[in-house]
Amino acid sequence: MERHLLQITGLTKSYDGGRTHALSDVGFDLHEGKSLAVLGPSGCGKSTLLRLIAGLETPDGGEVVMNGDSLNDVPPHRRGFGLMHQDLALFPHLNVRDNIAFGLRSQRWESEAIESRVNELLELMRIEPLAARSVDAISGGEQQRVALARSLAPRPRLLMLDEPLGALDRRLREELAQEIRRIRDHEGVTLIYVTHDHDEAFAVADGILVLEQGRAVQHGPPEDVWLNPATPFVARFLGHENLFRCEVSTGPNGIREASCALGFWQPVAPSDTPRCTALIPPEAVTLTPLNQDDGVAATITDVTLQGGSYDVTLRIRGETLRAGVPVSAASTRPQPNTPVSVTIDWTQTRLLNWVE
Amino acid sequence: MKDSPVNLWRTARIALPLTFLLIAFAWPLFSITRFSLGWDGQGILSPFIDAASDSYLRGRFIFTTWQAALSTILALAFGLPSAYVFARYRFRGRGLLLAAITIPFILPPIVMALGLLSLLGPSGLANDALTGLLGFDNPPIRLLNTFAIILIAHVVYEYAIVVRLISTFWANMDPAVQEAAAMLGASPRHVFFNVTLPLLLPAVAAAAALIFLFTFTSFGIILILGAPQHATLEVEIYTLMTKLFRPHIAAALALAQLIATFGMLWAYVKLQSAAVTRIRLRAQGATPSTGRSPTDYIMRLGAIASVLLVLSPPVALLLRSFITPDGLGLDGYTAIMSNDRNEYFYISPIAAIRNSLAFAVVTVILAVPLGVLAAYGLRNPRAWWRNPLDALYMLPLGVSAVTLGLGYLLSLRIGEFDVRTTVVPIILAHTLIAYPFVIRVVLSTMRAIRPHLREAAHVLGASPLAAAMRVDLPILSRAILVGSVFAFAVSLGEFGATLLLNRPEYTTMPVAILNYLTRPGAINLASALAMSTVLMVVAGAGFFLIERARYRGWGEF
Repeated sequence: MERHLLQITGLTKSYDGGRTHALSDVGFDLHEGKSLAVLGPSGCGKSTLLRLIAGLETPDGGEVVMNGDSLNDVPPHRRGFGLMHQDLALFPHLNVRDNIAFGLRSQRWESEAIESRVNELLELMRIEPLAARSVDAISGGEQQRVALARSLAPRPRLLMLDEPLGALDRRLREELAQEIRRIRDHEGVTLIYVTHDHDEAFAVADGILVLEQGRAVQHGPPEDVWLNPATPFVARFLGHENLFRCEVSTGPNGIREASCALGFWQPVAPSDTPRCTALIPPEAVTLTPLNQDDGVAATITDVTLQGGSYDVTLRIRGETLRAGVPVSAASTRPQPNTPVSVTIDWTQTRLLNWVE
Repeated sequence: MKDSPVNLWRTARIALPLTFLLIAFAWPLFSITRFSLGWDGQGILSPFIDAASDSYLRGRFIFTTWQAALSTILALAFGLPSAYVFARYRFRGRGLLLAAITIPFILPPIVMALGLLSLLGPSGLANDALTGLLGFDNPPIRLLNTFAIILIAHVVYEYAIVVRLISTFWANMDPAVQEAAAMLGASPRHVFFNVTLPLLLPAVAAAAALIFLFTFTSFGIILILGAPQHATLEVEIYTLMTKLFRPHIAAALALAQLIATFGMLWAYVKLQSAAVTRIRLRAQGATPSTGRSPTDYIMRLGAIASVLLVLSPPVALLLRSFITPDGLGLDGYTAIMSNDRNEYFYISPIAAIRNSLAFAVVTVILAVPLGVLAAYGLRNPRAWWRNPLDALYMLPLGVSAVTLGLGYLLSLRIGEFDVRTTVVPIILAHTLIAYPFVIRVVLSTMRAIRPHLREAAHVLGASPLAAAMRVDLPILSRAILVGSVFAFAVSLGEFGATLLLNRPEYTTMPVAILNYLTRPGAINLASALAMSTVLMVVAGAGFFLIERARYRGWGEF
């Protein structure tokens, strides 16, 4: 049976004497060995959540429970957690090796044990040649690795990473995200990963917690969050653009169906809501030459090439629809101002239980 | 988390510096106020009225203000072109010259006075050279005891403030604003007068306020180089207290001077922060010029010549200290290293050196922990009391040395318990003057330690104490070293307060130098020059240490 390693209940924190609510009533459980990504835009309270769990700040309300024990009165240095700051916070007066060894010295490890653990991490992070270097004399990506190694070294019960790939360029970010997965599995560490980038969150975590203005608006596996965003905010934050309001009615044959402004309708599972929102993935939209079949007429307004697909913006019945056309599937580049016929694969479309 | 050692520490870092200020600062100032306002039974305000109705004393106030204003204007006029050169040109030896500029500034005023004496005095190098080479019968340069030599001394002394304060702003000014002006069609001349100069003005005004503050309270230079008619308020307070024994009038003058100096300190702080906020500072902002036009060469040569000029007094002192009536020799040094004269009132030079070193060590021992503690109390930038407390800690900088000495003579006694004749007031004075420097140096480094570093240490298992020892202390160690050297140098060179509080058995090197100068005979002059040189070398060595640390990117002016 999986054990709850960490239970967070009702964490609340405000600043400026209650005027700024950084975090309101946030709670979740985390099983041992699992990874949770805390996702949200800047200023949503992600970092505050980490700082409260780390004990660097005192919550106004709520509790952090580890293995059944409340940590509220435990100072940060006795929690046995690891935290990698967004700005890394490497000690400028110590070299790479001594930075990594810092936590081990705090725990008063034997010097041979420190030596071998530091070597193990240098090897794991592939930074052995940097051991004696000053932390100011290595590159940004290398500093990131040193910071990660330093927080991993004391074998924390829980490792928290605050925007660990924030300042890096795209290639390095992908490389390091992969690295973090490898190391997470190697060390079997329980992980909380804070980021504003959903791709990064999905790449690293097996659970996602979305924060909006200090509130937890959705918590679930990545697939569920992606397919069923719980609020318009989550949907937009994940980059979903094809969101259309639908009216639900009972058709002549007694089937409840949802119809949206685009002129499409689909049967829906029985539900009490009179309205819902259709989330149409761009890849569910197919474009064909006009009048070739029974699609809905639309006009192409813009075309860009992104990641191997044409991102096509369409004007359809006064609404804007985005379609993704793989370059390999298109014979020529779709041209703006071309009238097309649009069909939608309803099996890929989700009906969400809210309206904006 | 709130165990008692933490709370004790939190209380101590504010309570201890405040207690020190209460005894070493508030008490003497209160006593000065009490005496000057006649609260001790003299009749309300009578000392003030006496002082104000004395036309001689009114004249001293006017002269003090006048000489400070003139010195400030001359120092700015002399220093600004150099500030421009150091801000905008990169040339070989620039770093060395910038470091050298500061040498006169860090020398005790009495050493600077002797430097000018060695250069321009009756038996100074300039006169020696002129009589030797051109065959003058009498020394042609007769500047000693004139107003001119006082102004020269002040300009040489304050040149470093103008250059270092203003060129730093100038060099780090974000060039984007000037570029924007140029893109909007402004000529270089137009850019300078309408963009650069207005942006620079607060920095110039801040430098002016600081120079005015320093020259307004000039003491050692006036005492040694000036004539009686050049007495500043500072000199007058000294005379009133030690020669005329009129403590009430002295206190009234001191209070008037205090109001003026606090005003200037306040103006300096305001202007300084205005300068910082108005100019978006960027490290190495402006593009340095390596121009090769004739104007460029003249500008650079002019700056180099200025630096050489301000360096000439200390160099002259060094050379002059080896010149005896019979050519080169070590007469002065032998004299201060021996103890064989049985003069009445004779002060043993070795004892003076020993006393100075002892006071300096005690000052470091007291001022450094006090300053570090106070800096810790100021660390949190969000606390409402931070800025008032910081201002309070800096307040001693606005009190002149002689005023401080006077304050101690009028306080530091409760009934039978009287410490005024012990070493205590001298130690208090040195510590009070030194510890604001320690706070500044330590605080600027402390602010550079991002709070995240300490948090990272906590999360990695370090207790608050362990984090302080393993993160703060190693990073601060260099700042603490700089602060220690500063405190040491300040104590060694302190003259005004020590002179007022002096007793023969506590005589320090600066007091001994004055003592030699007031006696006739070549051997006494030689002793004064030799001892000044020793003082200069020790202060210079300390300064060298500070500069080395500063080059690593720490510390502020």
